[in-house]
Amino acid sequence: MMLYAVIGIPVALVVGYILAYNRLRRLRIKVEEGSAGIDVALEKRFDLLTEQIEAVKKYLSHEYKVMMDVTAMRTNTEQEEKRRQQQEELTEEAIKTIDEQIAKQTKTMEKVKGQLRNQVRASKNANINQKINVLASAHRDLAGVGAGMDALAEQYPVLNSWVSMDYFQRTIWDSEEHLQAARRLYNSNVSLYNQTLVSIPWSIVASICHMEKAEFYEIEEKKRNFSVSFD
Amino acid sequence: MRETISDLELENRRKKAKGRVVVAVVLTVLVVVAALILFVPIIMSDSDYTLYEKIGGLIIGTPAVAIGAFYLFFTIFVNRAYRHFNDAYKNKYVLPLIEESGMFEDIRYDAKQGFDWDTIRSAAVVNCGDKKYFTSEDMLEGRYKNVSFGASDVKAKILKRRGKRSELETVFSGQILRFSTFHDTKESRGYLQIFQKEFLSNIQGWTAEHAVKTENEAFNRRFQIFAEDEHNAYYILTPQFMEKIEAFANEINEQIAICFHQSSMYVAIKRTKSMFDAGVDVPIAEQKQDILADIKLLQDAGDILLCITETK
Repeated sequence: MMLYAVIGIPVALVVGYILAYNRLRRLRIKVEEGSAGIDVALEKRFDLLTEQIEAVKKYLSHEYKVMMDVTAMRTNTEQEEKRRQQQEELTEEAIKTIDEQIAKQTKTMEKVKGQLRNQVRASKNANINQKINVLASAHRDLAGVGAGMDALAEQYPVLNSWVSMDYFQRTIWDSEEHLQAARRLYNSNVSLYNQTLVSIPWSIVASICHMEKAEFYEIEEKKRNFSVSFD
Repeated sequence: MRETISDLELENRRKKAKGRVVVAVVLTVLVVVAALILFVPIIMSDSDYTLYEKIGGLIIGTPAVAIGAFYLFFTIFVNRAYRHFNDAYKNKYVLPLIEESGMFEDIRYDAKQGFDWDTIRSAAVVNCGDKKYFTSEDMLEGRYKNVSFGASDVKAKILKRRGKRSELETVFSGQILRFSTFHDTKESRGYLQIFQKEFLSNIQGWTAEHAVKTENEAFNRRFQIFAEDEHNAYYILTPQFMEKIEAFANEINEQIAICFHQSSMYVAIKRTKSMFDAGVDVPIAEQKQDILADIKLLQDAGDILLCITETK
């Protein structure tokens, strides 16, 4: 009987340790999976915003110029009349303002691109909390760019007829929904992981293996009344 | 095909069915009394059991005899007459009343048709039971808020073997609603199932791989969520949509299940009452409004759950 106890107790402890460790590792992987989901959603949003900015740039550099040339011919067809009216809505000053806004947003997008590229390079070594901070920062910047583009569309409705701003706004909204879903899934996995980490007996294994809590993905929502200068 | 039966003829059929119910009840009482007169002396004279066992046996046996006898007489005398009346009632009133209400567009109704077993099985909203014992009727189709819908009574059963005996167990009885779309832009990638928890009542059939817990603890306590893709579950079940589901469950006050697959949404409502069935006790003029009460379920589901921008 004594022999069983002497052998059995250490074996039970080892088995218990292994089971607890495996559970913590599985939960940790779920957290990392969740962060990858945020990554994917952010990349998609980045791509859509890039597409939108490029479309506006193309309009400014090419379509508007074509419109000016057509107007100069003054054939008075219905289509050219419509274009002429649209042209009147966009004064030179307005074009300059849109151009400046696009340049500003392009600069922000370059910054985000750099952040995401660095994060990919460092992902193998960086811990999850560092990665989440980078993603949250990129998310904030992208939210600013998105809000800037929305403000442009509201200020200059004529952009809608050339650049399908409605389409972009819809798809960007959908990408935001996916981003929110990825964020909530990540936070749910983090919550479960952190709760397990502080519960006995997993907390014992966690402290032996130096496992740390994961940080929640939090982003300060940018409100719509941020100031964009069109002067 | 609409019934051209007159109101008077329909009322006569109702009275005939009611009369048959009375006959069945009277016969049942006679059978129970006869059984008591015949068997009580025999049971009381049996010395193998104590007095309490004899009285217990009578207390259990008497209702069993009554139920068995009533079921037999109902099947023999009432069933046919009731179906004759009920079918005529549905064909005469259901479609005209719903069309008159103006709630839906392009309305079509067939009292004999319903969802088929394969549709309910692929919907994965409830346990579809065995194909052999699956029944569905009262198919109502149309458009609400520009969304195509279908609604039908469904009864699903399975054959369970308990030792040497086999018995049919009802796994779901109620209404199933199908909407062709539930959101202006969103579609569900894979199955997403939400089942309301209810004590001793499990209407789940096949469930998706992942059990999902949202951040809303109250929602998690009330509903079980299964999804093929966890991200998709959070994408569809936004906090606002979860509130809608809770509001719908509060409004209906029955056990519900909802399943999303691609653009479709299936809603199951567990109820013992069939849609549009007439009663024999109440005059027809008074129970016509029950038809509109039955389709209020459909309207509530559309009003609360659909996230559609109505275009005029």
